[in-house]
Amino acid sequence: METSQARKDAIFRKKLVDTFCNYGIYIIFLIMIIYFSVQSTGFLSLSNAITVLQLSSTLGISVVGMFFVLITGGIDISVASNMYFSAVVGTTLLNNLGCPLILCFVGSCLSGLLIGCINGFCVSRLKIVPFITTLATYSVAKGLGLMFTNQQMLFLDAKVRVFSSTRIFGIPLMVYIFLAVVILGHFVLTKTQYGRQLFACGNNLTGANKMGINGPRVVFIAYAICGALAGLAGMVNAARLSVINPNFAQNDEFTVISSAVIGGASLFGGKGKVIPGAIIGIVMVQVISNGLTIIGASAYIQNIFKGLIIFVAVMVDSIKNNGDIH
Amino acid sequence: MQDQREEVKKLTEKRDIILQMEHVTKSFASVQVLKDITIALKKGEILGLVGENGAGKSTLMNVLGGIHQRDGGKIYLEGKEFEPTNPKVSKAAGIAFVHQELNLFTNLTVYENLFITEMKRTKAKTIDKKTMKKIANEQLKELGIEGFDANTIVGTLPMGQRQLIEIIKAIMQDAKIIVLDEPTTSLSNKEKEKLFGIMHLLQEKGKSMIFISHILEDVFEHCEEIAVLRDGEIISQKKASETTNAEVIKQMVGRELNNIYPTVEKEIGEVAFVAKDICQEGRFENLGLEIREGEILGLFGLMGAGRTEFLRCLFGVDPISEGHISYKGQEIAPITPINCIKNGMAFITENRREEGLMMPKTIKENVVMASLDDICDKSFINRQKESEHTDKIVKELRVKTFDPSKQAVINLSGGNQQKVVFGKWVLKEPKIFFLDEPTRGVDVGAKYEIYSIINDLAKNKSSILIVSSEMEELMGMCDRILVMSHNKITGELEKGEYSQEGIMKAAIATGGGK
Amino acid sequence: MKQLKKVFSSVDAIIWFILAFLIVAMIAVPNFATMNNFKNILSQSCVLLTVACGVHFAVLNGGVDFSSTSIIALSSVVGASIMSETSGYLAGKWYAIPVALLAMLALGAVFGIVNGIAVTVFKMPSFIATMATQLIGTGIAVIYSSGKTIGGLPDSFADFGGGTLFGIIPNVLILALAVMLISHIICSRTLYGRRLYSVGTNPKAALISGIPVKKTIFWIFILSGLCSAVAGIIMMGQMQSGASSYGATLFNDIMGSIIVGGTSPAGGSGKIPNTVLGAVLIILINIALNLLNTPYFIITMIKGLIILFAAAIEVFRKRKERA
Repeated sequence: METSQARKDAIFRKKLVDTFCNYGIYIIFLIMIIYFSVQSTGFLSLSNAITVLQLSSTLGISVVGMFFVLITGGIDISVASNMYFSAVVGTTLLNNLGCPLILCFVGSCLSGLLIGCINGFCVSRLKIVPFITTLATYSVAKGLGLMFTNQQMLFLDAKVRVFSSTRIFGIPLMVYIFLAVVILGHFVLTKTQYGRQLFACGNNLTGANKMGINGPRVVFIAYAICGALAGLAGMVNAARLSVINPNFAQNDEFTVISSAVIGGASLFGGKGKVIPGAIIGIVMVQVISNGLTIIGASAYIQNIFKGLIIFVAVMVDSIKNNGDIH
Repeated sequence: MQDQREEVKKLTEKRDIILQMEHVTKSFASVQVLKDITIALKKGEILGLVGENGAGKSTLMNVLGGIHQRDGGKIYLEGKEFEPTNPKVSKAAGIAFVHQELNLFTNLTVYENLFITEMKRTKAKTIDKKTMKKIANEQLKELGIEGFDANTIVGTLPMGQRQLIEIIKAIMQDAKIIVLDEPTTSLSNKEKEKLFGIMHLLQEKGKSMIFISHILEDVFEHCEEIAVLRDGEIISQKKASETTNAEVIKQMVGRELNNIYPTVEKEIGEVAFVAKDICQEGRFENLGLEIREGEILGLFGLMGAGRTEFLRCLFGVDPISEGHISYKGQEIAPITPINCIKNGMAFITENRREEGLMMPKTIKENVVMASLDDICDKSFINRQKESEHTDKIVKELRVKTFDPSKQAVINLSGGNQQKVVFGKWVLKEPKIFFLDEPTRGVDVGAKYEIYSIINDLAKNKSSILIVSSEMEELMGMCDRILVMSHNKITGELEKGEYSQEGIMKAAIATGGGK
Repeated sequence: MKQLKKVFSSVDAIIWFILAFLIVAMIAVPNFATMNNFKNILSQSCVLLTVACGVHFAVLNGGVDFSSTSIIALSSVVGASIMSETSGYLAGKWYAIPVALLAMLALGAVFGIVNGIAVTVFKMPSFIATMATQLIGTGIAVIYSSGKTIGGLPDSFADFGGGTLFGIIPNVLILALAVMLISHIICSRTLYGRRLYSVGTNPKAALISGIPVKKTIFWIFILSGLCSAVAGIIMMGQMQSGASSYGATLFNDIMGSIIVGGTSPAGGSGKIPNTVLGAVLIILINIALNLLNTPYFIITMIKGLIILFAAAIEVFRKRKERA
């Protein structure tokens, strides 16, 4: 009799944990929304919604890239510095060389790709642990960016307004770019052989290699895509702000990673749907961040929340996946 | 004379023979694993291949699959000479394998798993889900598989159905010959029936199959011919109707007993260790055993019988849902490795690389690993004690090394590595010692030494439980043998009543009640 | 003498790297071989040494502790806010200093407990769990101190923190060396150290050999937190104040020291003396680059590359060993 009672308790506890894992984040999110809307009338306005959309769109582009890396079971900490570096490259093209706007975006994309390729090479070929690799490239990218700007603020040429102020049906252009990237990402992950093999590698890399899938190549491409999208995200964000501070994009890797994890990608690999995951993830995180700004929280409170969000998101992911201890 | 007649007989039948192996040999290092393999597979036939663990079944299949290169002999495929130089050649020639271990991606759907390496594309270069699903569903329908479709995520399927996917994979390679290596071990009876149904369906379509299994009932029921492999030789290949269960068992076990086992005078005392009502969800129900003081108990079972898993439960490595263990009337609870060790238990796992040793570390560090508490004075390592203990073990067990505090375990031979694992536990002077495949991957000389170590422990009143897939090892070493089959204990033999046939009969029993 | 030889043989290639770097720097870098610079090296290495020893424990298990830098910041502001003579809670009380120091250590332990629970109970990867606590810790430090530097430390503490032994050796270096020595003893001489290496090398074998795997991993983070808190004390002593920016840029140096010292990021191997030498090499590089007027962003970049190269070398070394 005793044992059956113990079993019942265990089942109940498991149910409780499951419920928390599945809905906990949404419940917390709802509570916060209610709190923000009570605290400030501006929170639930249309103009604020557009602001949130804009904020989500810039980093959201990078979240899509992070999905690719997380699906391999890896991580990319370097995205934030990558954004800074790539935005600087794009801006240099714009300001100093007078390139057309579209070329600047391509340029920043390519510079992001470069960083991504370095990450991919180190992780897939040299087999260096992903977080060490990307921690190192984090510094390298940041250093490169600061070298180009000489640690100065960088103002973007006025031409960029064409991009940042364009609205289609009242919605900023960058939102469309974000959606395009999401759709493209979703397409690659679900409709191409590469995408499906990526999921296979994230699930069982040795098995994939055994079956004749080129695992290292698949992983390499994932990091390259993540880098390129981080580069694009950086330039879009720079265009939105029309200025690049030396601490541009700082700590954004937390936002990107936690959005991806909240959106259903797992740190343990093999999982994730860009539609709707990437959109839900980034919007949730940015709504909270925007709400905090509106009620007048300082940047540091924001950071604490960033830390809490990523902690809870990863905790839920880890409990679900019963991860290895490291 | 007889050989020639056989040859002539085979030649006349050659027309419908799809695969023929003649005098194939293969050795690794100095060990000859395949001595003389002559076997023929007819078109549209299911050939049962049976043999004890270690008889050479998997080596034979690896030779056919191009994973290992044979040393001598010839292989004919559809009458033409066939050289399986690498796995791709075999695959291209239409030979497919269904292994016991599954190579599936649990996060993908059934059809994705089937097509993962080469997906069908549309004109726009995207993957053509429709076509792939259609093909997959057609296959499922054709084979009469119900309960899931092409869109099901593999991770949600039970093991048995996953096995079916592996078979479909093999069929979709357009294979002419399908080799099924122990495909039924993880299947329920119903799933098994399904599998056999599919095999016969394929047979009607003219596919040939080699079915490796140790469940003789299945082999007799579903195979036209049965080949018995023993010690790297095909002992016989006969029509199933022309042979009997008893004959096959006799042929399987007629191994030469060429190992010599050390003997020791010892006393067997009272019951010391008792395990009762061990349950693990989905595997064990109320298993139990008793070991006496100074007794060496053997636990035999064929692959997948659950012997290793049972042992792991007894030591708290794998979780159990219910169960009790006790030593001399004293209950050991909860069952965790730490608690077990505290109560004088020890456990050598079958996989010393992954679970026994720290490969890059030195012999010394490995030897003292389980007795860190004993070599410490108030949580500081006593280096002198450490060295003394290590030296004692190295000397006692005769580990060959230039310096136990410098040489990494990874640089030792298999036998010496195993001695280090032994040393780790011998140092603790365990009262109950579980040994899982204690001589796997160990050369003959070291084997004898390990047997002596085991005997010495028993003499010192330890209770010992050996799990082994080598029947003769257990017969040579043990005072009593338990036999497991299908996660149940199906036989118990005292020393006087040992016979290879008796043990084998219990090992291939279906495990009593359903 | 024999002992000395043993020490030398145990430090591997890193010592030759340091010597080679020293020779090149003395020739190529002006003002490198001066007394003043030597003092510089000594004082700069204190914090890095202490905190690297702590993180070393985490890396031995194939993990990492990012939160160490935030513990330095938070403990320094909390300590300063307790003992400061101008604005401290216990200003002027005789027990202000011990209470402040204890509070700092307790803070390090609390972070360690949180990280430890995250890693052992929830089974979160340590790099992400500690990244989160790092962000939270730094945030709390800024808010707690309102972003201000808290000065006015009691004279006795300031004298100790800023003072030197024989005019050369900073007092706090002794503290750092003590941490180093204790860490070394823990790693090489204690039961816990052995367990840690076992768990880091092969957790499955460790479990079956009766080693309490979870408990061992849990304590890693407490040790690391305590080391970081001591680093906070040292930093506070050297700067004569507490501020939330302390330690903020230190993490690359920490990781650099450990990996350059030959500790594998995959866990299981690595000695404290090597990490210490790694820290020395990193400091030497820092100082040489500074003397050459290298902008800090270049230094950041170079450090990133050093980590990458050291990790790559480690991977190749292992591959060779296995072959």
